[in-house]
Amino acid sequence: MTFHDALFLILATASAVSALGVVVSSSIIRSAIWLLFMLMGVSGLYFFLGAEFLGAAQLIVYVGGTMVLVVFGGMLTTRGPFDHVPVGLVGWVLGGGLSLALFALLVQASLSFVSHPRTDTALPGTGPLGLTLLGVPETPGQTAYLLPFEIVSIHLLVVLIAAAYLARAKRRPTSTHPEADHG
Amino acid sequence: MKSLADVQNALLAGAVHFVLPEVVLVGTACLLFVLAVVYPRRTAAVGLALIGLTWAVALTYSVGSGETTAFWAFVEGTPYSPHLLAAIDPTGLAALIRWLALASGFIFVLLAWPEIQDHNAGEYLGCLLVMIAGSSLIGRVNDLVSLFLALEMVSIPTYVLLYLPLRGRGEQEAAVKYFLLSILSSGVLLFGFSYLYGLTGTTNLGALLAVLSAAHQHAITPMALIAILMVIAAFGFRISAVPFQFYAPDVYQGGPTGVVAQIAFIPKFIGFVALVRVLGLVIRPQDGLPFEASTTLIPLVLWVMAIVTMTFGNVLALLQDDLKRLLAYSGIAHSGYMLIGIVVACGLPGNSTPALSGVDATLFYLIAYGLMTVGAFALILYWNSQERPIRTIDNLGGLGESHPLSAALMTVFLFSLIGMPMTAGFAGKFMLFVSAFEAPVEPPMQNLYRILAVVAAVNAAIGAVYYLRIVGVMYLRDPLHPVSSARRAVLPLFAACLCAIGTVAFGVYPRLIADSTQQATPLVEVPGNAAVVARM
Amino acid sequence: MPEFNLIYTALMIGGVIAFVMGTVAYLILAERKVAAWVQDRLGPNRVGPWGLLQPIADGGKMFLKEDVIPSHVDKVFFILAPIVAFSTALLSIAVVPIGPSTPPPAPQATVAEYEAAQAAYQETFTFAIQPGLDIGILYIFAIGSLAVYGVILAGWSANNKYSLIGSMRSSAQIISYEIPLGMAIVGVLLFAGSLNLETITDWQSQHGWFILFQPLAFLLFITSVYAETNRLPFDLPEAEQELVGGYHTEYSNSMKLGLMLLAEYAHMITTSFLMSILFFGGWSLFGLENIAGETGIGALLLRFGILGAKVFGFVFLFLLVRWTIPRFRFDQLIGLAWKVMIPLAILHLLAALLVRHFELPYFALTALSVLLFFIAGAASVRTSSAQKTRRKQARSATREHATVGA
Repeated sequence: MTFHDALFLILATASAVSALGVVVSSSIIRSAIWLLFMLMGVSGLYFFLGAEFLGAAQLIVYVGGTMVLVVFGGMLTTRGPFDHVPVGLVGWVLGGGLSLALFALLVQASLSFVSHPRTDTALPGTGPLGLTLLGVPETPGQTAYLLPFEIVSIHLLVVLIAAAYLARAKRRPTSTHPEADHG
Repeated sequence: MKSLADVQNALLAGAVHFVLPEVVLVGTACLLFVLAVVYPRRTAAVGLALIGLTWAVALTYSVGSGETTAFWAFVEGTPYSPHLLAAIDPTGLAALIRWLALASGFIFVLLAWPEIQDHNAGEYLGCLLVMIAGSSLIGRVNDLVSLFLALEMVSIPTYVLLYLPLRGRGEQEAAVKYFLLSILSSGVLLFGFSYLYGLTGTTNLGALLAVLSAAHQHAITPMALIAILMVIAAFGFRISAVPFQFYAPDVYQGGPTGVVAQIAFIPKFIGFVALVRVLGLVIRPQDGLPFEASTTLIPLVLWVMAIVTMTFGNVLALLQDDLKRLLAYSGIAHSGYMLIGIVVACGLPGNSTPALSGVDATLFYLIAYGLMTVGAFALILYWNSQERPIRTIDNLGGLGESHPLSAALMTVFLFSLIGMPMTAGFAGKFMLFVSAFEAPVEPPMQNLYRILAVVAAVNAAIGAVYYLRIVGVMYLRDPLHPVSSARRAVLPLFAACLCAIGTVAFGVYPRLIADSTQQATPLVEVPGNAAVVARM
Repeated sequence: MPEFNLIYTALMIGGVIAFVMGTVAYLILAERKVAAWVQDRLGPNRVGPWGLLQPIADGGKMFLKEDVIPSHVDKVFFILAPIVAFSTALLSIAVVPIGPSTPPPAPQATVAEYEAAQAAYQETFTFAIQPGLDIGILYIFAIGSLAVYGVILAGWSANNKYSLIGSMRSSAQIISYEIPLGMAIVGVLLFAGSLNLETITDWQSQHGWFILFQPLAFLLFITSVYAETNRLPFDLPEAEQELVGGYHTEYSNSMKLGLMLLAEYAHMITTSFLMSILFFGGWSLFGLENIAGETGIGALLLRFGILGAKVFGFVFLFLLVRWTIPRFRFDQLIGLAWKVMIPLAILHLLAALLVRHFELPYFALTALSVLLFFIAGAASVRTSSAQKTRRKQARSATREHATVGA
């Protein structure tokens, strides 16, 4: 076993164990934190494969952005210290069975996967990635994602408006509606 | 001759021209957001929204069928199929979907009037316009990424709309429930899409389906089945098909009526359109459907889903007293009917050309359903007032005397929902049943279509019970509350009138729409390009 | 990929840890000395001459103290928190060139050219653990975004209200300030054309320091850095007066607390390096770095000295600010980030884009930057004075009301 294999084993085991932790843990915060370590492990795999940009982006977007909010939200909404959400036997059997089936399928698919070696000599990197995202694809068969990119910005705009509105709404007296005290 | 890259670049550069009305709508939405800060007035916001919609309609009208011609012109003289290359595909359903989206936009702006105030008018209408733009895009995006984003363009504003008039606990519950389940369904959808992408290596919908069909000629990929099941589950949430319908009654009951009218129509509408597109029913790949009845169980799954959905909806609707809850279950039942058309289309062998392909029947029914359900919600909105809230069916007592016009309109909608002749509901059901009966009786599905049609007919009879109950209460019962003299917003009544006119017109003369739905689903055999498919 | 050598790597790890720990230990002493100096006291002076051995005594104490884990905590995460905090702090220093550096080769068209350029680059030596990492600064941000988990985990696992409030404050603060932090340097990246810190230094040695062209970006960056490192005036997560130490309340004064504190000071060092490299030209000093020749031991030492002096200056500023500016209120803190710094950062980015696109002289950006700063200042003065008058009016109105009522 070479050093690289060992490194890969460590990263892969860490990701897999954390992924199991997400499922097995009955506390939401714990699940979230396990998920966090899973994502870190996966980004470690990206670094390991030489896809540094992808790894860093994964860390910044998922670990540093999304998961902080998830953990934050979890901490704000738990009712007591170390809130637990017990899972029944049926849930275990059903969920476990389904995920095992999916796992088997994925293993089968990844074992039958044939990788095509690259034929072109152009260097992969963040440059082509950015060009594909915004502009014209360099090779035929690729799709340019300018329109989706613009649509995403519209999403973000709507979400920002909603966030601002929600934050503002708390201070506004909603007495114009008599149903306000209905609930 | 143009090279593949040339064609691709031309399609990319030309794509902007295929989404101009949507760009106008989104631009108007941005203006509305700004206006809400600078000049927060309800009238100004509604005016601006109507101007934006009118502009979009004018653009759509002026483009006409020109975009299809322009689209084909890009590939003129080349062996490439644009369906396999373009990210935006204005052929097939696209134009019809855009007209439908814009028309529903007008109706929903009218419905919004009584629910918005000066302080939230801009945000409400801006979000509504983004939704309309998104649903119009669903008909033409030909790329998994864009398709997902267009779907989210409808979902995300819906969450905002549910939150905007945040009043009581009911509204909060509705908003949170819809938000969480919708997010979950989007996650499942993405999961499915990622498998589809992983299997085929392309995000282009046409190319993806072509690759899948070609592969399924030899052997079925279990991964593709899992993926398409996930996609169906996610769309099942949007069309509120059993077993993904759990949110519907609570959301309909708790949410603000105008927004509920939108939720009752737009997600179903886009859900069905996206479903037929992802299943390859609009533009059939050359090698046949990727998920055929003879090789996969997907049509059978949809068959079971259709039967369970319509029966579940109708039986539970019988037990409801709350008017909006009843409409929620009725909506579930109608989703079941609409699934019939998809089941039929899924089971059709590639070489058959029946008069009704199933998809067009579903589309027709979708339009009819939109007219009658949105009309019914418009009337609830019109009747509802503080002194006389409309919550249960009993609240409707005596409306036949106090509001003869609106009660008559409601009767039209309910008769259409039952499926009485001379209404759009009848024409739609008729087309669905005929498509099911006309479908060829061949080995994999055999008599299942006929069974489906019979079950649907029985269900229609069950449905008549609870719809007629409402009519009875309106005309035969005494009012629970004294008739209020408060001024009512006229705009919802106007919207209801429009819907009723549509319901009757399409019922009396169905060809008005049936022609365009049939033209929109021509079952094109994609010329295909083995070279393109092979390298992807 | 450079060849892996176990001994070399182990030596490197040991060296870096020793360097960071040693510096941090003496930083703590320096902090106490500076505090004493500001407050006109003597500071630690018992252990060794001028208290120079104090850090060693402190370290020994932390190692030898009993490690108390309270019974009500979530043990796994309670132990994990200091590890996360310290390891992220150490990891982020990996791409920072701590001495003279050579920029990695620019992107090449083909694999063959790329390999030739890389081979040439391997000949040079850069004082960084991982030189030539293309995503340089992005890596620091990625690792830096993990640092918040040390605080969050510590706060949540401690099962204590002060800890929880501290960690919630911290996450809100760090999320808010990451945005201006990232946006402030986009202007720098636009001009340098690379994320790599060595290339950025090289650009500045040729064209001039970024502080000269983008003073506003530097101001935004340093403010965000203070917030990200939880230093005063942004130390709300551990505000002693309100939160008994915030997220590390439940950590007894053992090595786990020690790791937390070490992490904080390690962040200070990394960010001081970053500020020197991004805005103050790293080892360059207007050509003065070349008086001892371009290569050779003299030039090496001189460049080390220049960079070291800059870093020391920033660290000293950290220490001085702590005793100069009082702590913000929490709403002011979040308001500052969202209402002032993010809009300013966007405007500054716009200015940088304009200058870059129309190829204006670099000093046009300086003018724009300063102009933006003064406009923002004027706006804030106007709003605050308007608020003051409004408050005064309200007060006089209530007073009148009271008089009438009497």
